Amino acid sequence: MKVDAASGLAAVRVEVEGACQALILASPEALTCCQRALERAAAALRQGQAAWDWKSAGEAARKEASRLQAVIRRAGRLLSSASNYHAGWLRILSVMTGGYSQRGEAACMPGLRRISLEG
Amino acid sequence: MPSLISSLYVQAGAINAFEQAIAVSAANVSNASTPGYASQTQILVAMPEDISQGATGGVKAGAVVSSRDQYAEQAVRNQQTALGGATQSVNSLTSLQPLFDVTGASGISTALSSLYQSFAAWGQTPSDGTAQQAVLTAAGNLATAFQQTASGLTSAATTADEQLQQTVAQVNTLVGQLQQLNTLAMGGTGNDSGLDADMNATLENLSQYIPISATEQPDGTYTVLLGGQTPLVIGSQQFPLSFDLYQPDNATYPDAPPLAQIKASDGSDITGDITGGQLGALLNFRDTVLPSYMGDGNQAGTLNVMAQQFADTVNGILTSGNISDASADGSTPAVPGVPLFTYDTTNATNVAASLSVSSTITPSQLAAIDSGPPEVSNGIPLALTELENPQSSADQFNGESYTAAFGDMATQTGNLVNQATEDQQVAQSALTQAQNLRQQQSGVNLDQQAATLVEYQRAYQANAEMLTVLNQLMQDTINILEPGTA
Repeated sequence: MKVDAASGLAAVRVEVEGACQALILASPEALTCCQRALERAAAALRQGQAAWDWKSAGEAARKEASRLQAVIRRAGRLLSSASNYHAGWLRILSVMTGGYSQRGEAACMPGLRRISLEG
Repeated sequence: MPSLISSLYVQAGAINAFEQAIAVSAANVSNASTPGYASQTQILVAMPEDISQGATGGVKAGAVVSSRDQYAEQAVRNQQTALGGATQSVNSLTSLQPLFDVTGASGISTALSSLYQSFAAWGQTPSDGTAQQAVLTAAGNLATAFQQTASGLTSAATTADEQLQQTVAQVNTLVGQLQQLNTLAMGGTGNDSGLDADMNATLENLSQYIPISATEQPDGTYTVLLGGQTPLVIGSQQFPLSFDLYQPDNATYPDAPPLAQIKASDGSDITGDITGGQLGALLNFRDTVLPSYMGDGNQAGTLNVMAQQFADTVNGILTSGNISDASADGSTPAVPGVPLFTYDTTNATNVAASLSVSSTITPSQLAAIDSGPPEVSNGIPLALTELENPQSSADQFNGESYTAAFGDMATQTGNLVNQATEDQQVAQSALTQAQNLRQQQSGVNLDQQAATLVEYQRAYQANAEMLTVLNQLMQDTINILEPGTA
């Protein structure tokens, strides 16, 4: 028996909401958890496209899809805000250290990158 | 003996230094929940040891360093501004929703539907006085619905004006508090953690109302700018804001409702600089959202344009018909139809508020005869009934029926509310995120920061790629649900 599309989409939404919670914490460990949650969500959605019952999907599935879209947008905005925060901090840090660590060694400075989200 | 005295001296210095360090730690613990407080660290300085020069070594208390980072503080303030704006937008826009009810229970949509039904019934029995009276009653109800919607919009504008006045007053009060704290800082030692906590708590409070940037000065005071350029407080000097209503120069509609503006202390208009916070959201609602419906100096407003076009269309159809035919011998001419609706023709932004049924029209004056050729005895009611599903562009509003056009206005309002609600949820999460980032950064040295940033860069890149995949999958899913819409 095929899984109802609305229920499947709701399960994906729970995963993305978990990713949002991790993005709110925004520690390196939480970002790893976020990535895993997003991977699980993507895998479930990909499998669901073939496995879920789309023929009888009605208003409930459409509403759930709309909710899921909103949560994905929210995850994108949280990822952007955290990324922008650290990009800004990196600029300041680069200026403050002048490329050297506090012990006078060459500082381990990552290059500035921008996160670009599509969709 | 000298070495013993030196040793005692070193011990005494160390005890003194550690006493101060313990006092700083105690202050950190007791102020853990004080708004705006940032933990402090007592720096211990190693003293030089060179017996030949009389330097006995040991340790002494150095500077007390705050863990506060202004970059992290500004990031939190920016998110406070975003949350303040989103929350205000939700509140303001939600107040409009009852005015654009499309559920069929009340308002313009229901009144339009009733009027169309009365036209259809009149078309069945064009000479029936009851059917004619029903048309006048339904037309009166529609006019009242337009008036009530216009009145609701005016009331929303008045409420927004009051809120703008109160918000500007609140901003000035908070900036006044900052000015007083600056004055205290100028007279202090420059190392008062309590004062610093008060400053930052006040800045965070202020940032929910307006977008600010705050720069700490060497004397411990804060320079606060609005929108990055308008000074609010510099040292002990405050620059208060003021609220005003105005009519744009060279207004097309000089009798239109005025717009709101915020002025700097020098009288210059800084409305355009206030793009966020509660004040920014109120200005957007007052000067952009409401005028799109009710008009301003440069636009009539959708509601007024709709009311005028509908009234003109109905009046045009009625006056093209005849109340009675001319007599067969030509001695009595045909009696032409008269207009049903009247409105204020001198002010295009007052049409909806002034729309009413002509006070002189009677049921028997409703023209039913389309003189043709060929003459149709109920041609006018039939033409009026067709307005419900108009085929001619002249009978449409923005390319669709009046009912659909009003539904679009309601949908637009609903979409704005939904967008604002989503923004509010994101802003709340982003504020918590910024507070967490501030907490993580607090007291971490530069080398640690640099190493952590490498980890962050990798994590952001990986997450962004995953999110792009998820976005694409979501688009595909929407296509499965509703082919062709994604």
